[in-house]
This record gives sequence, structure tokens and C-alpha cells, in this order.
Amino acid sequence: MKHLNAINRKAALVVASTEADVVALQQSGGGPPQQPEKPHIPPGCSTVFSPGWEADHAGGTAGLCSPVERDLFDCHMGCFWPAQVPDQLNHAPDWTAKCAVAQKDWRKIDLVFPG
Amino acid sequence: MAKTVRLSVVALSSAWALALMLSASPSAQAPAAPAAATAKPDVGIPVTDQVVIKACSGCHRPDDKQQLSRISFRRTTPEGWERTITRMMALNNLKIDAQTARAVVKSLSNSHGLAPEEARRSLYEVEKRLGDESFKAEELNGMCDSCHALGRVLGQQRTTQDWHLLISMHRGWYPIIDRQTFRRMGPAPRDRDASGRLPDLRHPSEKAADFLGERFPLQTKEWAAWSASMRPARIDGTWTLSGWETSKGPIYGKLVLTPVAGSTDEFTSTTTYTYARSGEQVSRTGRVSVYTGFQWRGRSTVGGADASALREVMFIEPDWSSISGRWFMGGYDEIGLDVTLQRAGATTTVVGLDHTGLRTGANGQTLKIYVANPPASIAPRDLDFGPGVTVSAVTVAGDVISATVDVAGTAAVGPRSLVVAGTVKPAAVTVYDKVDSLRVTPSWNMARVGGVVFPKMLARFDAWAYNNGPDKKPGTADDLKIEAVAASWAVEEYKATFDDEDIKFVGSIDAATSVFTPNVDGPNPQRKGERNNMGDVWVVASYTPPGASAPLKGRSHLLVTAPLYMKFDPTVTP
Repeated sequence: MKHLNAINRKAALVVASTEADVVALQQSGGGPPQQPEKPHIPPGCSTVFSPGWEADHAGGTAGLCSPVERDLFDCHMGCFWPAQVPDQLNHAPDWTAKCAVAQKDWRKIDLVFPG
Repeated sequence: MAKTVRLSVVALSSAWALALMLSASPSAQAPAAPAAATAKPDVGIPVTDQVVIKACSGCHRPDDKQQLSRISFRRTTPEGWERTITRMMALNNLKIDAQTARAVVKSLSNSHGLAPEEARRSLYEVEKRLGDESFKAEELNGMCDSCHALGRVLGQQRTTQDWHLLISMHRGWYPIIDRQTFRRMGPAPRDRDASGRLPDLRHPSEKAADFLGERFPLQTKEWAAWSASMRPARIDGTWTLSGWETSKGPIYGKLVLTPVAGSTDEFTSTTTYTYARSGEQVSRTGRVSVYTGFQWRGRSTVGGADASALREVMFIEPDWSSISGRWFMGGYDEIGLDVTLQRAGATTTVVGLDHTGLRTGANGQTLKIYVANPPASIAPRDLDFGPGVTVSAVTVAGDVISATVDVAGTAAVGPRSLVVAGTVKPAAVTVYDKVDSLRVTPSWNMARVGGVVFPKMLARFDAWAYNNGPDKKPGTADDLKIEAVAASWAVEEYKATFDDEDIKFVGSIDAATSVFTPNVDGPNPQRKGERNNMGDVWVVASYTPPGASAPLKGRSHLLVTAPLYMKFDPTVTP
């Protein structure tokens, strides 16, 4: 950003985000790198399904479906997340029976322990 | 007549064409045909326990070699067998009472279990540890770990045919999985590779099953050796306990195992331990079952209270000299102790210290040394930290030796062994001249929103002081890990998305204890798009070392993410 000047508010935000160290870390002697070099995808989380359940491709949550309730019916009916969301085919055919609109009735869906 | 002849010719041509097509079909040209197609039946492990036969043979018919279909062609952990039984109950209409199910799990874990060498690679799965997958194989890339941890796979041994059947089971229950990962979408590769070989036309799941059959087969020399010599683990008696609880620090104590009458693999446990940092003392009683001669599965409580229950998953070394593993609780098994037990001998032994850093040029530094079989009395000459470290006072009370030491300004920097009454504890303390940096462990962590319908998953951290080591450069292999320090904790924005203001919504961290408590589950009307209280933040530790003017900081990436709506919960407890 040495030779560029922001000319609108959005550009100013970009400049601000690059100039301010995100956590303002000051290590003596330079300090070791504190940021993970590669994104960390929790075990069991997706690198193929896009986005993943717990993390997106970059190892963060920015790319996740949110609110997750908006998409739960689809996950349930399509068995899309068989290890994370009860599936309609096998484990919980009536899981969403009490939940007409997930975004409103999400409190009515239960945690399922298969078996 | 002519018409008939012509038809015959056409038919013959079709047959030839079919033969040609078949010769060019994927199965004919694949470098390794799936073992499911092999004519010779696999050799399994007979099932001889009548309890298992009675419970399972309604569907799994025995053959003339006492092999039950599927069951005889697989070996796995107690959790693996438990998961299978719960699946049979949920999806295959199995009716089984809890007592019989426990007996079946124990029997199959012993007759169709894992050898210690085989079980080590999937310990993180049964110990419920969060971390990065370390097992890498191109053949499994995205196949299994798209849905669940690879640990579920690594804790199994099967024949190649049975690995293929396992894939088929997944495809049957979850048809969409074909399109997600199991089958190749798009045309098959047609060109030869650089070395002139025909392209591998197997689908990804077929490659994976073949790989697993080769890498994790039913019959191994490890299992042959272990199953031939397996015997009840003679672990009754007294053990010293040392451990670590993230955010609470080291624990030291004692565990006594008493055999349950009439059993060779069941024990009751009585445990007492102290948090060295706070002095908090804990007494627990519990019960332990040992599977396959080395897999400790236990449950213990404080005074029988369910809220205090810890599930215990431990690995008994085959020489019965030490036992290590994890005791855990919480909505997602995220709260836990790393525990190591060592056989308590007759001599004085150092179990651990309350802290491990000794600063050069500072007098009057105190240490608490937790020991087994403490001496009746002790003098400064009984302790030896090496050159430059002088013991000025020492007392012993119970299992704790309290020492005051002076460290010379010229003392050499580095790890030191500690000698107590003639016994040596290697690398017991670290002498350092300066704290150069602070690192947070784990370097990334995960929490899950909850508290309304689903449980919260908490996250906890430790802050470690480091010295740059002999090369005076940070972040190199010779850096000295000094000790965990009492840092001050905060969360800061992790800038992945503009103005998402995650830190306002994701939850809060206790500044003193490092325990992060996520916010509630469900859509948040206060958030743009009614998004959940999910997000990314930095967890930042601040610590000002003695004599320093500015705090050092370290940080860890915390994902605050979605709950699990379904939880497979296989932890075998007695």
C-alpha cells in the first residue's frame, strides 16, 4: 500500500485491515510466527464437501452455511451430512416433523444418538 | 435360410463385439481387480463364543469353519464393535439387552481385536482428541474423512473383500455418497500414463478398499503374535499418576487397582490427585475393564456423582510398566486429562514438579516436587539440579518436597535433570535467562455454539513461555520450552470477512482460566442475515515475564462452529 491511496470508504477499509496487525502482536526479537501456516481442518471435517461442516476450505467458518438451520431440511432429506445431521432415509425419518420452518422452529429438533 | 445365416453372422459379430467391449471394460483393464471378484474365499477368524453366536448368527450364518459372515473377517477396537452393535440395533432391527451387548463387545474385542501396534495409530479416535490427521494416503484422500475422522478407519483390520463390503454398506445406507466422494464423476481416464501403463479405471472407493485391504488386512503378524500370547493384564496394585489438564496444569497423585472377585480383566480403582498449581485435591472411585489384554476402558466419579463422571480410555503397555491415555467428559468429550500411570516401586521416585522453569540470577525460587515413596527426612544435599543451582532450603511433607533454590547468573541455560535421594528425573527443569516468546497450545482449537437445544463445546488453552535457545533465534528447533505460565486471555477479531464482528457474537473467554464459552445455538436475529453465533477469532494470551516492561503475546485460531445434530457416541465403559 506504499504507492496507493484509498479514494473511497471501502478502499480505506482495505488499507486499514492491512496496516493494522490483526492482533497487534509484538514479540521480542521478532517472535515466532503465531499464525498456523496452513489451514487446519478438524478431523472428520470436509475437504471435499463444499463447504465443510465445521470448517470451510480455508480452515475457517466464513464459508459455512449460516444460519445452518436454513439448510437443515436439505441435509436431512438428502443424507448430505450423514455423520453430522440425522438422515431421513435411515436414522431419523421424522426428525423435522415438529419443525415446520427450521429458522423459526429450530428448538423443536432434537439431538439424535443413533442406536 | 439365407436370412437365418445372416442372423447368425450378426449374432456372432455381436458376440465378438461384446467380447471386445468386455476386454476394454474397466474391470478387465484395471491394474488390480477388486478382491470381491476373487474366486477363493477369504479366510476369516472363527467365532467360538456361544454368546456371540447366539446373538449374531440369526443373520450372520456360520459356515463349516465356524466363521460368521462379515464378523469373522474383521478386527477392531471395543468402540468399533460397539458402534456396529448400535448400528445393528438402529438399522437392522437387532434386539439385544445391554448385558449381552457388553458380553459380545468384550468377546469380540478379545477374539477379533487389535494388536497393540495396530491400536496405536487410532488412539486419538478412542481418546476423543481434537487435532490434525497425521495419516496421509493418496488412496484415501477425501474418501472417508469427508464425513468422519480417519481414526474410525485406522482402528480396523479387514480382508480386502470385507473392506469392499464396508464401502457397499455405506453406499446402501447413504446413496448420495456416490456423488459426494465414492464414484468418479465424469468420463473414465483413457490415456496411458507417462510410463505407458493403462489408466487406472477403478472408482475412488474401489481404490480405497483395495488400499485398505493391503495396508490393514485381517491377518497380520502383529495380531498372530499378540493373539497367541494374550493374557489378562496383571495391573492390580499401586500406580503413580501424573497428568495434565489444559488450563489447569499438572496433576500428580496415586491410583490403586483392586481386582473384581471372579474376574481377570475387571478392576475397581481408587484415585487421589492434586492440581499442583492450585492445590485442589480430588478423590475418585471407578471401575475398569481391560479389553484385548491392553485396552483400559473405565469410568470414575467423585462420590458417585454423575456430573463428575470421567470416561477413561488408556493404553496398557505390553510390558505392564506404564499406562497412558485420556480421561474425559463434556458435551463433546472436550474436557479431559492426559494421564500417565507408572508402576509404583519401593524407592523414592519423582513424579513431577509444580513448575519447571528456573531463572538465572534469581534467588529464593520455590519448587514443589511430587514424589512416590518420599524419604522420611531430607536435606539440601539430597537434591541436585546440577551446576549453578544451589538448594538453600528443603522440607518434605506427605508426598511433596518443597525446595527453595538459588540460580547463579552464570548458570548454563537448558534442560536439567533432577536427582532426588539418588534417583534421577531426566529433563525435570529448564534453566533460562529470559522469556523470549509466548506460544499458545493448541495452536488452533474448536468450540461449538450450544446451550439452547444442543450442548456447548468449550475450548481451553495453555500459554507456554519459550527461550530462543542457543542460536538466539525465535521459532527454531533449539528453542527451549520453559513452562506454562499464568497468562491473561482475550479474544480478538480474526479478519476473514469484513465487518462480521465475530467477537461480539461468538462467546467469551475467561481472562484468568482461558476457558472459552461459546454463545447459544440457533439463528441470531441481531446478526446480519440472522446468522448463527459462529465465527473465527484469535485467542490471545498476554504475559509479562519477571523483569520485563511489556507483555509478550501469543495466539491461537479458534473456530466457533456449528453443533452436531447427531452424535455417534461409542465409548465403551464398564
